[in-house]
Amino acid sequence: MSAVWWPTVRAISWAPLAGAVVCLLAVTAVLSPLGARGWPAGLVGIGAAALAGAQVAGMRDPAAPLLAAVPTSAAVRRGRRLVLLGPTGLAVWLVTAGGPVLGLLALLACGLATALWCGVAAGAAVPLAWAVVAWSAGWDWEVHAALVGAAAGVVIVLGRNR
Amino acid sequence: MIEAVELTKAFGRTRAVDGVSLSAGPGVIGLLGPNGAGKTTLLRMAATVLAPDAGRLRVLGLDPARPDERLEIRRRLGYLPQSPGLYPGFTPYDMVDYVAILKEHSDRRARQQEVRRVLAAVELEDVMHRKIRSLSGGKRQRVALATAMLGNPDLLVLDEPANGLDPDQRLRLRSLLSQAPTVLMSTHNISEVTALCHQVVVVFDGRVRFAGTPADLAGLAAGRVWEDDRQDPEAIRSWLTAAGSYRHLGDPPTGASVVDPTLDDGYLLLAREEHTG
Repeated sequence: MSAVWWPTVRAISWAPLAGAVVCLLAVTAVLSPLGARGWPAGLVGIGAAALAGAQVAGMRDPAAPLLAAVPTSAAVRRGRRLVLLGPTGLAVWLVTAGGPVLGLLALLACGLATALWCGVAAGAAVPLAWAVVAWSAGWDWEVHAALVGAAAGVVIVLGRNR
Repeated sequence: MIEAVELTKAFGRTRAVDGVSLSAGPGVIGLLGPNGAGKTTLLRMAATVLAPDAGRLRVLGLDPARPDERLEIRRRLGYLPQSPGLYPGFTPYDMVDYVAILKEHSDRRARQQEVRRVLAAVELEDVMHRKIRSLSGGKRQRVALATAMLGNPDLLVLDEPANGLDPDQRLRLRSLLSQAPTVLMSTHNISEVTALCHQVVVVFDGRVRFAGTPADLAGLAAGRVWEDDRQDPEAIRSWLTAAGSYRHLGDPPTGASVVDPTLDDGYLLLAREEHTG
């Protein structure tokens, strides 16, 4: 393991993701005795949004001002955080809700794109806001997930050096 | 070391830095100015953190606008921002070690030695394995300072480095900075400028209003400072000194006992002139 990974693991604030995991596990635990086959559709969107928002929240780096002028760029540091947060969230998602992966990734990409341009707090709020709006309006929360994810990916690439 | 020509940086409608030109060579260069004068923005540009909107900037002879040269500058730079965030769950050793890794100190043994050296330089050896969350503000500031000093950088860019330091640590800081090749620092503490700086730059509203030696800045108030045992309503500024007399700044009345100006007097006079246009 390269010297950089363990301090990166420790530098990440895992609390938001841990909170989301507890919520997902609790819902799974409640649904299992009821004999439900998977999560109700409306709840899947909210769960994915909570998980994506928590992953984005984990990208917040309190030491970013101190690290702003080190040779290792912010993009590389963010990439390392994402390498740790992304698969962890995905694994939790598959184990609990087992919902659509593409939808989760699209929400995560939207959150990350917003975080790059408007700050981590706004980025973490975006997936949740979308899920709540979609649920209230009766829309499919993962509509055009591939397209949305790709568009968000472009925004991320454009803002990678921010 | 730093050459800036007509540097400009705006945030929305506010011009934080407005056509600043300065040349800073070896030694300690102090940036003085009121809050919001543009000192931090200027330092962030010098540290390659922020790109100017207009103007030309060269740091260590390199152009920070070019990615390859910016990387080279960062390898030779130590930067302390005004509010350096730290990871509360890390120890000072862990924190400095992590920054050393990000500063490309790849050899483990050499890195460990360097981390211990900078922690010793800021006198944190005794707490280097305690959690940062349990340290005082002054000690946290010293952790951040230690990260800036990693690898003996050619240029130190420090935004109010003495923030939260006690008098003993301020003296220690002076000793450390006097050994660095080039330091560009902002401060509100004029005694620090007097003790440390070879050159002082005074900034108001994003513009350089004075650049020269501390003696030159004090000299601006030559013949315009006098002391009396009464307050003088004609003076630009009057204040009671510890000796119980009043020190006045302005145009002295006939027969006034004119005294030698200090750096404070020069700065206050400049600030007053700036304020009254």
